[in-house]
Amino acid sequence: MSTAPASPAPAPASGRLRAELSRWSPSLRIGLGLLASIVLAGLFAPWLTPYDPLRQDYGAALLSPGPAHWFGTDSIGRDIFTRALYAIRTDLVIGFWTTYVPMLVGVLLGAWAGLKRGWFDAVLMRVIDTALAFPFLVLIIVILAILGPGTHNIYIAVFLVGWTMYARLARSEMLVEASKDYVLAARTLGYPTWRILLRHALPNIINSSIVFSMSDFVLNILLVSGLSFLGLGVPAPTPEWGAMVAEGKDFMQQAWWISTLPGLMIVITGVALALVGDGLTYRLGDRHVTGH
Amino acid sequence: MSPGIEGAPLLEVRDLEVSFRVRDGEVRASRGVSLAVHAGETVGLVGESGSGKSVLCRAVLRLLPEPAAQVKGGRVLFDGTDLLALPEARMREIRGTDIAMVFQNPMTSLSPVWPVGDQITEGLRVHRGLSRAAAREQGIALMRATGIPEPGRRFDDHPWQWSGGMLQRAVIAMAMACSPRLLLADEPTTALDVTIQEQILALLAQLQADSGMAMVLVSHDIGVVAETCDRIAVMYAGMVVESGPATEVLGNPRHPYTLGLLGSSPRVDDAGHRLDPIPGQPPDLAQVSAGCPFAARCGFASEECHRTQVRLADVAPGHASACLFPERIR
Amino acid sequence: MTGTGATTSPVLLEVRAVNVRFPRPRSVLDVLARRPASAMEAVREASLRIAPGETLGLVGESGSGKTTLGRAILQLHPVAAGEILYRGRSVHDPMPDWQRRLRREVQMVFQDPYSSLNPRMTVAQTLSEVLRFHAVVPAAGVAAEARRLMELVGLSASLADRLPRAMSGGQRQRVGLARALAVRPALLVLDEPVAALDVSIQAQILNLLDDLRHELGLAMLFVAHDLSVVRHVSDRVAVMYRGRLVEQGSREEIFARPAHPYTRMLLAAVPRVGAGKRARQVQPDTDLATPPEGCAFAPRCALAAEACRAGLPPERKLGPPPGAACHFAAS
Repeated sequence: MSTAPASPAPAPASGRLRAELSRWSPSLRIGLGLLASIVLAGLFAPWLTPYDPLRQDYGAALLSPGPAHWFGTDSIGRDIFTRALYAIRTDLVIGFWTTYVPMLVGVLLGAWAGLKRGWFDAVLMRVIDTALAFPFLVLIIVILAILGPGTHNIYIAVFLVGWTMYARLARSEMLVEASKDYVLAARTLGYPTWRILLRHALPNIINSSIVFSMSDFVLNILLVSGLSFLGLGVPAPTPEWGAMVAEGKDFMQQAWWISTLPGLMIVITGVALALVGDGLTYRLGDRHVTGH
Repeated sequence: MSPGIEGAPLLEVRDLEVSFRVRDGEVRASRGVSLAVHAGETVGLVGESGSGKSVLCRAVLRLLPEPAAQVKGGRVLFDGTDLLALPEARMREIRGTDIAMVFQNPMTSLSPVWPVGDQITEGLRVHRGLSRAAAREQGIALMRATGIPEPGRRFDDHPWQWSGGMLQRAVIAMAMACSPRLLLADEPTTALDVTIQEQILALLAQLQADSGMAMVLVSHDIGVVAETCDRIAVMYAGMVVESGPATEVLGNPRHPYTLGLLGSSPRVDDAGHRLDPIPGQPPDLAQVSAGCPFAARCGFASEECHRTQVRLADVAPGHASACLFPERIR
Repeated sequence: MTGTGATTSPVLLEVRAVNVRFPRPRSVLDVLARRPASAMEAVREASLRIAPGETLGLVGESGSGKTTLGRAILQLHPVAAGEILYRGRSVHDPMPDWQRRLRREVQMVFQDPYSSLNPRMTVAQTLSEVLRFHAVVPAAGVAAEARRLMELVGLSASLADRLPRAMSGGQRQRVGLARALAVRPALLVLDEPVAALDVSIQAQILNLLDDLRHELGLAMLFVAHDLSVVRHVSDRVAVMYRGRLVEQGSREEIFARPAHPYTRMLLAAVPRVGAGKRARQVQPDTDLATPPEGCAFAPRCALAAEACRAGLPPERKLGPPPGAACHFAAS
């Protein structure tokens, strides 16, 4: 039974931006900085390296890292550093599509089920339970076995399995939110369900899905890297970190740099995303705690 | 504070200052609170949210969350000993034995995992070293004394099986287990239905009569306090603004806030007239105001009220007010 | 309610023998064993009427069903039996025009100021949305109307761009009130609108409601557990206990001459200022298990007799319309 005193009126825009930035934890700042650097490196790859990622040069094969080739070269003479940079484009794009399309569909389905309940909810939950009963990777491989390898088929496979996690997450959040009075108020005011879903409830439950998508992004990159390792991923010779790790596995003794350095890129990207996810958890959750 | 007729007080709080550190500064939750409770007496603490009444109870038992909360000054004398100066181990001995506390929400006062009887008797086993069997026997007796039906059978029930009223009886039994000399009841009936509230207040009165225990009853409901307390202290913005015998304070209020509270409360026995609400909002405790904290909302305030620090001063024997101009009221 | 049929004023809202049930979830075993679905009866055979401009106070403790009944009127809960009629027509009539009209004429104010507003919408956004959706005023006039509404409920215009988290409980309740009034309803259902507020703020809101009643000619169903508040705002009062209406009457009748033993117990329990310390009788706890057949209040009633436990008491008339559902209702 408290009447919290009202905070002072909102400040002007520039002051607000600065105030917002000051609320970012070190994790968020470092993570975003790192991520931004990676994205820029991928965008400006042609200017950052003179080499062509696809050009083979048998004369320069298996060279160890040095002034000419910073990350060394692989078994057919391609510059690892160049390929690692160009692979940023491949991996980040794959990460994006395999994360945010399932998220969009999954969140909408789950939230709708949580709001309407009834038969839709019951059916959806059974489908989700079934999908999640199988090991994720096994399902993906089975689907790829049916569809055949290729980047677009990877998107389809991950989408078919990945939406379920978001649906479940969104649904449980919606179950809680739907009992809040402002949702009931929206119903008494006669707003249609889709409006209540999109305009009222969803913005208030999306936070956990956003945070989850950060780690999902990393996991999806790792997934595709794993599939490439198995030969089911992105077709050669497109540079992709996981494929590069796979190519280097036979040369671990004599040319460790072929696998290790792309692997390091995966780790750095993963850390960057994890930091952003961590920082977002606090920033998004912060609102409810402090009221600022 | 004038000395009570009954002699030296059992509990005496003198000029207690408690602050909470928050993100943007400090919140003064208690500003120079003084209160006295004599043996066998029931003292009511009445006020709205932010008045500092709960903070006061917790400060007495040193249950404030550290490091966010800091006691910046004052003394809490229990039977002459300053509780604020005691080592934690000694304080733990006092909690539950000499001084016990009952909280507002019975649903969350008990752990859902353990049987009720075990929780009621835990104090007996920790503080008095009783065996399980002996504790059980006393526990059943306590449950019977607090009006819980079929105590023998219910000893092993879990809290989720009980209603709010029955849980509060269990909480009271738990508090009474080691025969405390002072009971701090922080809004013990606020979460209960009014007919159950009646039962709980009756129970507390009886237990007091039987044991001679003193009680501090915190409530936002002025009616509850009026019907149960010998003396009351009205709190606002972290300080006591008026104190004295209940009938006198409520019948002849000498502080504008007390008058405002009485005017804002709808009465069940008198309808028809319009309520006289206190204008404005409760104060922001993060802003330290010079002068009287109530001045901004006070209908009797003058320039001086905004500038001068206020303190409790007697307006009649045993009746004190922190208003600079108590004669203006009414 | 078995009132005499003829009433001079037209009835705005009529609730007839309404039952609201919450089905208990069944496990797979229950389904396989073909055990019938059991339900919790939240409201049983409740009947009441509200005339235009009238305030009916619906009073009861927890478990009385008062909130459920209030929400059922707004169609937030399905009705298992009985009818709810607004201006003589069932609120469950699915014609879209009728439903749209209902949304504009019957509105609700909720109890909890902390969850009754969308945390991400400012006051202006909340009000504009209502005004636009229901086309209360033409699009050009929405901003001005929102300002007018804020003024009506005593909110300073500077709060228009505030989010709920930057407002106090009292301010939020005013926003909730403004939102409900935006559609210009004829009947307002208020579910414990002041229970979560401090006394001084509560008084401000109650006075505001009083002013609005007179200014706008609103009828209100005021659901509350606090008898003092109910006495203050109501023209007539209905008392509920464990799902049933046990007594109805004018404010004067209920408070001065309560007929039902529960009403009397309720009144006696309300704390009063002025009488000093009150001697009370200690009673053991009343274990409220599933209500027995017959009168639900019998286990706690001093006057209970065999007839009470055996069968439901008829609602005895104590003069015009309402009455008390008790064999021993005093006259």
